[in-house]
Amino acid sequence: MPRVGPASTRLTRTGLATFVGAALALLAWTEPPNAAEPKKGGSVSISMESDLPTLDPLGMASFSDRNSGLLLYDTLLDIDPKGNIIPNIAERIDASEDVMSFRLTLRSGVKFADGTPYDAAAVVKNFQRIMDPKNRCRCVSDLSTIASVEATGPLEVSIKMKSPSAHFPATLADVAGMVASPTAVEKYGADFGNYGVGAGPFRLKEWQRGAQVVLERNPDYWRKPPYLDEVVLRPMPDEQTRYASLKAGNLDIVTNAAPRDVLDAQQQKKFQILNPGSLATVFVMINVGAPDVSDVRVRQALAYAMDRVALNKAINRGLYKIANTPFGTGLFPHEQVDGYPGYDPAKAKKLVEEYGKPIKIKMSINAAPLSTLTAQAIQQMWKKVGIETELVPYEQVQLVRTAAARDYQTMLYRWAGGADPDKNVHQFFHSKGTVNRTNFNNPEMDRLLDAGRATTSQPERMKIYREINNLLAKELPYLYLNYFDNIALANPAVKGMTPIPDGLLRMHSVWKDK
Amino acid sequence: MIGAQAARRVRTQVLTLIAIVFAATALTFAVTEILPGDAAVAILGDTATEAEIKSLRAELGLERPLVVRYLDWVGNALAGDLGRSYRTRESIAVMIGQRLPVTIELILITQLIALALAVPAGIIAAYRNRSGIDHALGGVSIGLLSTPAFVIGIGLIYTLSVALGWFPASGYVRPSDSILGNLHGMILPALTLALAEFPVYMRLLRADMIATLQQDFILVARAKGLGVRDILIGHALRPSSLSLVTVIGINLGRLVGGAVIIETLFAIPGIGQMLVNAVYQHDHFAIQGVVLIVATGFVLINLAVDLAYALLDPRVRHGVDS
Repeated sequence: MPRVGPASTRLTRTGLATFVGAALALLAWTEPPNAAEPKKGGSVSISMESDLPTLDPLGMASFSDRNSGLLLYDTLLDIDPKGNIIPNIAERIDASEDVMSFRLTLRSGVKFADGTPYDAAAVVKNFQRIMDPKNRCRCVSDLSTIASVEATGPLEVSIKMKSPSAHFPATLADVAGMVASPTAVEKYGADFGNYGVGAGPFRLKEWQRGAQVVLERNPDYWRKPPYLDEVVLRPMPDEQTRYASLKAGNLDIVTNAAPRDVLDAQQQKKFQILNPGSLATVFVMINVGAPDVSDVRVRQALAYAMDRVALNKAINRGLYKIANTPFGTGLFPHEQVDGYPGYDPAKAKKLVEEYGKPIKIKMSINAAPLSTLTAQAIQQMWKKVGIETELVPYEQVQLVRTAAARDYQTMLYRWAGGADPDKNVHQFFHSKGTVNRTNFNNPEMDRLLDAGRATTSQPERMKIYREINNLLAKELPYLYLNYFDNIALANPAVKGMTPIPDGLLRMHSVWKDK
Repeated sequence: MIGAQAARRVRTQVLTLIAIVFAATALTFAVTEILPGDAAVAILGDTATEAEIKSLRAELGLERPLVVRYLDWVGNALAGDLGRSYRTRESIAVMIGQRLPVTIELILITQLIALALAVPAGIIAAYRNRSGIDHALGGVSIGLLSTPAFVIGIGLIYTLSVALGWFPASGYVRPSDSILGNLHGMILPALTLALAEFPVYMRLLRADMIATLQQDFILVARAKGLGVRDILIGHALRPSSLSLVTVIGINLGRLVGGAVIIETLFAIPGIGQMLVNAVYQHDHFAIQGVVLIVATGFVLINLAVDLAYALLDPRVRHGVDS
């Protein structure tokens, strides 16, 4: 396979610079002048919303799954606190000028927890595994542009793309970048999900299903062994119990804390509040092929009628930032938009009049209390401008199915977001997008989305995504509500946490002061 | 004579058991089918395409007719194979084997606490019928009866755990790791469930006891000069506990329902939590497995209660009517 040409741009040169900068910033964050030396030992427990389905990256999707994945596998690339892609187990990634191929260079001497070398062969095997449609990796949609993956050196992997893929490095900072030990995959076969052997800072000690997943320090971790002896992941389905357990001292970290609890923690001043920001948004998704809402005037009326500041105050206690783009605080096109329709009931009423026919909205929602409240508030706001809304509650799985089948008119939805802006828009708004649920079909949008993948130059991409934001603000397939920050609450004895916009916990640097 | 009667009763009960288990599992199968959404979507997640969902449904056998799938499941279940979880690939039998003892422990401790509170309270309330203490106990039980278990649970967590720090707010320790730790973690959830059972038990015992205390043999016992304690516990308690035993038995089954909520609230890995997860994930075999076990358990308990009557009430034992 031909090596990437000499003309190739080096992503890593800029990448490394940000990396060093981020590392310095981290030092300042975690170790103020008088801070104690990190102590070795101890155990930190983290709540999860439900037990893990598997320890195999193939089946990882939820926030808790991905959190456990980082602990067990670490990732080829990572994200810094500002959302930039930085080297990790792969010490560099180089893209060709046309962004049609990438070259990953791995660190030398890295080993999986079972001693298997973490080399190019292992990485290639992992790509083959997660790309095999039979294995149904939930990450597969992230890898759809890959044409071939090949080891071109003991520590060098070359990846060829079917189309320009500037978003590709970001996928390696998530599940697709979690590499399983090929020896363990072979040894355990279909049961690999019970063992989860990777090269992360921790390895499985014991999984008591439904009760806890106990992970212990991986002494051969590639950075240096983590400070903590153990990390315990505890499935705790009830939100109130999670916060009560933190208060009672039975739990060290609550991830994705509820606004109510964050507010309480702010008042009590007893816990650390970590707000790493966000990658994505909560929004009303519109099927632009459905009656009434197919007319852009109706969508505009809906947008103008929404008093999102009041809504955020009532539902989220004002905790989150109002969104005007699909890009959370950790993505560079965040709020890069001209003229997303703000609250203006007079304009909304005028548009409703202009449309002339009575507007009937059906909003499909998750039947959970919080989304129901949100939807009821929106329903009232729309009513004020003369739009009748019927709420159709579903349970989450069915809601997803309805969305996939485009069997809805409007839907209250949330997307966790990816580490590259592309992941929040391309698959959803491209006319050929795999999960285009809005029936959005706009040649200009297709062109912009493809252009966003065709260059690695940040200023250029910024321009492109700004245009995407503007087009979305004009066409309104999404009515944004707010950004969704992954706020964590932690016992003050837990030190060295780094807030990263994906909200996942990097535990290798964490220690416990006890 | 006794043998023949008991045998007939057991035979009827076994037939009932089979009928109930069939009815319960068939009904659950049908209801799970009506549940919106399906296992394929639950497994594939929110970036799944329609094509992927269809292909996984086919692979899981979900495209086959309901009756075929049910008969298939019954056949396997009769052969001892309860299938595997769609989501985690675990064997359902193993899952139940791990989780059932946890729930049984929870229910037993619940019953112990409920009885430990209700029996003395019921006796006192009966003995001091219409006194201040009787009214006070009546008030408490009405209050507890009208409060949902999860509210009691959250109240207990915030008082006994967060404020006082006496018990962990959540979590489960295996008895093999630490028996004390295990009991320590079980007390709060069991107390939550017990506080909902307590009023029922207390009121029943109180009512029966008041009736018993008016019987002639109590008068005789009194005339013989026996102490209050001897009369209440030695003579009046046993004949007054018939309704209580029935309700304890029926409640064992009902408590599984309570366990669904309490195990979720306290993050305890029992069969209730397994059922909740299975329903959320549309994990049909897991739902079926739990229903099978719970239905069987329910009927067996009723059988045991029937037999227990014989021990408590000589009239049943000797086949005397009225």
